[in-house]
Amino acid sequence: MKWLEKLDTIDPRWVYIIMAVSLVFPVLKPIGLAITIDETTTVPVFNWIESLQPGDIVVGDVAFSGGSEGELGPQLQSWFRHCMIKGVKVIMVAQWNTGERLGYTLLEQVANELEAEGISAEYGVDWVYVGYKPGGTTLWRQMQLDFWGACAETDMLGNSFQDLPLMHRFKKWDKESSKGIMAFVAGSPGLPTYTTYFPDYEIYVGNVAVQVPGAMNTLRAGQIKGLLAGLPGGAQYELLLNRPGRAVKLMDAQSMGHLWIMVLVVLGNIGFYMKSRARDE
Amino acid sequence: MKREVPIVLTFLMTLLRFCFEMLEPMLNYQIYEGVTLFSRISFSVTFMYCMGLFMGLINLTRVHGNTIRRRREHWIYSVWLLIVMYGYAILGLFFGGMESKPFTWIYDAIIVPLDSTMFSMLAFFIASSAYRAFRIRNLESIIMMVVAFVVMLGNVSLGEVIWSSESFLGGFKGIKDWFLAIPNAASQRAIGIGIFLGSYAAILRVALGLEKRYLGSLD
Repeated sequence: MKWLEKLDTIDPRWVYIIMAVSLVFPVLKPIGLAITIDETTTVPVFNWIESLQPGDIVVGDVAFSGGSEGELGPQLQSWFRHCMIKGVKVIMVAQWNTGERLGYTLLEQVANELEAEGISAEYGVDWVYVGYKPGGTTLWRQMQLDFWGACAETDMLGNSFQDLPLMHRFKKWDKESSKGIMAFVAGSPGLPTYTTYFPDYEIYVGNVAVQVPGAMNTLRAGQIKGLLAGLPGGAQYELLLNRPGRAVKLMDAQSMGHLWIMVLVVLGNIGFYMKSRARDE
Repeated sequence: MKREVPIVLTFLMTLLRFCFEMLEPMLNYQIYEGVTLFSRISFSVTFMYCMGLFMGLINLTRVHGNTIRRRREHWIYSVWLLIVMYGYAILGLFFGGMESKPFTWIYDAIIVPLDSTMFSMLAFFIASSAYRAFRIRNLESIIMMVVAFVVMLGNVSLGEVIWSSESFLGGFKGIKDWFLAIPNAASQRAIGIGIFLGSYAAILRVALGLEKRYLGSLD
């Protein structure tokens, strides 16, 4: 059983090669594994947008950068698409300056697609991208009192708020002007900004998978009302919206990657056990 | 005076910030028509952020400038760092601004893909480290491995294929949800409360001048 003992020391190159194949192959040739919709996390986010009236304003936050785009990008795009289809107006801020432009690019892409379909997603009327403003949580607190002043009355593109019709309805960031907050977060600053300074607001979160356990207590306590959890959250939202996209496509790859990790753990333990037994004998 | 002035300032600013949150009239107190005291303080924080960035720029230049001058190991990377840092800043400041094509192209075609690549490599590192570290040595490691397997399978479509969420106990997903919602949430909250209590104690020590290490060596 010498070969079983060798499982304790598999060449890392094989680990990497098989992982690469496990991730790439399902993307090129999707398997189509079933995706279950999570009633406690994803559905409340979807129902929140469904419950809003055309013309209502919601605020979104891009608190991530390129590293988390794979998970949070599809979430952001699906959620934004849903808002535009429902006629809900979106004002986006960005707690991360490194993700500011990325968020805009993602939304602009969706807006162009929707415009081509004949759904209104006009910049300045249906959505505004305020972007990153330096000052940290103190500035976010100030936005509640005087949104225009705190943002120096300009969006990320340098447009004056005076020239953006949507912004005339949003001078203060309070519960009357905004019907909720959707924060896409990948670290710090992130969710605590809202649970601390916006405790009475309807807060929803799009989170990277590794942070989901850390956010579950806020969901249980009612501090946040809904949670899109990593790539599965994005895929579920795409299915709820009946527009399967990038996240649905990537779910098979994630399954195969996880499967390989589990196989590795089992193989490693078989090798470890056989080696220990041989040593004892 | 070198110690006393910063301590008194720290105490006053902590008290002021505390009062802003606790006393509603103070939050809305106007120093003159249409301008609140809080908005002025908020802008001063923004200004400090920008100054902090400027200080970081100077410090980074000094540290890497020294590395280049003394030809320390890997000094060539310091040269590259300074070229990229100042080059990108100059491009944004003087050549069409942050919306110019070259500036946005560098962000879209270099920064974002590099960032994604760095994060994607985690898949390989996690596979390799899980293989090496997840060895069943005692009861605790067995529990940890079983929970990890259930959570992983509960998160992906494959788990649904093996044990459906519509079957007994809600399948892998049902058990994963229970792990996340009950034991995990309870421990996360306990950790959170511990962190906040520690933070409050630390803030109180700084505000009252009991903690002086942040002042550095002033003697």
